[in-house]
Amino acid sequence: MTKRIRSKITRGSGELAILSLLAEQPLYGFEIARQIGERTGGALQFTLASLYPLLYEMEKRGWVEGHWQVNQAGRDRRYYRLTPAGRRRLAPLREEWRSFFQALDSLAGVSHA
Amino acid sequence: MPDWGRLVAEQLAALNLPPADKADVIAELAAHFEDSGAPDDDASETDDRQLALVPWPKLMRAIERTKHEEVEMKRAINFFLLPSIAVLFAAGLILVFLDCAAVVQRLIWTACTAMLLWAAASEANHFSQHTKSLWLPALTSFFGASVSFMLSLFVGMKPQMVWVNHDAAGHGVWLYWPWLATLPIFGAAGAFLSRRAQGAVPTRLAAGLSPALIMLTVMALVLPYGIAIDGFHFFHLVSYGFGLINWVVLPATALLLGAIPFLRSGTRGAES
Repeated sequence: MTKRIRSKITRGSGELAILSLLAEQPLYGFEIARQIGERTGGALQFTLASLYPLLYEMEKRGWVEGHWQVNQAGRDRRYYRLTPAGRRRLAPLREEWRSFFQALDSLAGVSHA
Repeated sequence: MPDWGRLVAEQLAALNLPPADKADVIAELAAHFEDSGAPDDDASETDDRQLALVPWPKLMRAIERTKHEEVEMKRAINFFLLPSIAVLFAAGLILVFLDCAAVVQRLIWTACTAMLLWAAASEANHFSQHTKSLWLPALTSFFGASVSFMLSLFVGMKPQMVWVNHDAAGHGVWLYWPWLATLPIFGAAGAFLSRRAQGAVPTRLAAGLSPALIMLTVMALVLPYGIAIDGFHFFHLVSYGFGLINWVVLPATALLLGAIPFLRSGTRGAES
């Protein structure tokens, strides 16, 4: 697999993970990374250097929106919430990944591996 | 607790962003370190280790690339696209008020629209999703309809005048059949381009019908002008109604015919 393809898969899965999480509730960067790591059993992990450029990119595309807000510990955190455009993006993205896994499964039987 | 704001600011000293954006990024990354929670007893050693784990030059480049594009996008829209549209719109209004049908003026109008469209398309990567899904498709549809109208006049096609009465004012509906026949193509183009940019159904509809919507706006602006400057008798209500039919209702119907197939199906060609 070339680096380009691997990079696209990583990036696409990151977008899906973040959009899915933010569809449930607004979260700030650290919480996004923590919950993704926790809920995927550590299979998907974001570092600071991979998370924020992706969040800024998604914000630029208008899928998420950042705003400063005080968290439960009383500290200012930049919360991200899903925009209507992000919500519209989520459905086809889920479908793309479903098709991708089905195709891979039919070829390589990955779900039984 | 370590002063993460200062430590991150030191690492990002070379980050080339406007001061407000830079301060935001530093505060956000500092908050991330703060939440990572280094224990206080071995704080300085852990701080150094945590900072060393981050590839700062790579991170800076990634942030700059993203944020610069955003800044460029805002600059492109604020300093180029919006003034250009305003100038174009003003030129159109002047043409309407002068009631001038000179070929040169139509050429200037079309050339201005073409230049604006070309420049906008070349900057498309810097535009927001909204601009890509609404403004560019709308401009394309409008440009196509303008060129088609100009060409139909160039080749000498005369409108069919359907007289409603024969009094002095001479109210009637002008039917530009050849031009109206081409409009479904531009309605389809606007709606298709909007769909390709993941526009929602109302956005696709607005993009496809943009030539008629622009004319509706012009007509809405002409009405107060007519009342204030020329007196309402000149812009007689009936004439105004016929104007709406000629330039808004009939074109909108033709454009809609072309746009309909692209309103039904879902978004396609999504770029990630």
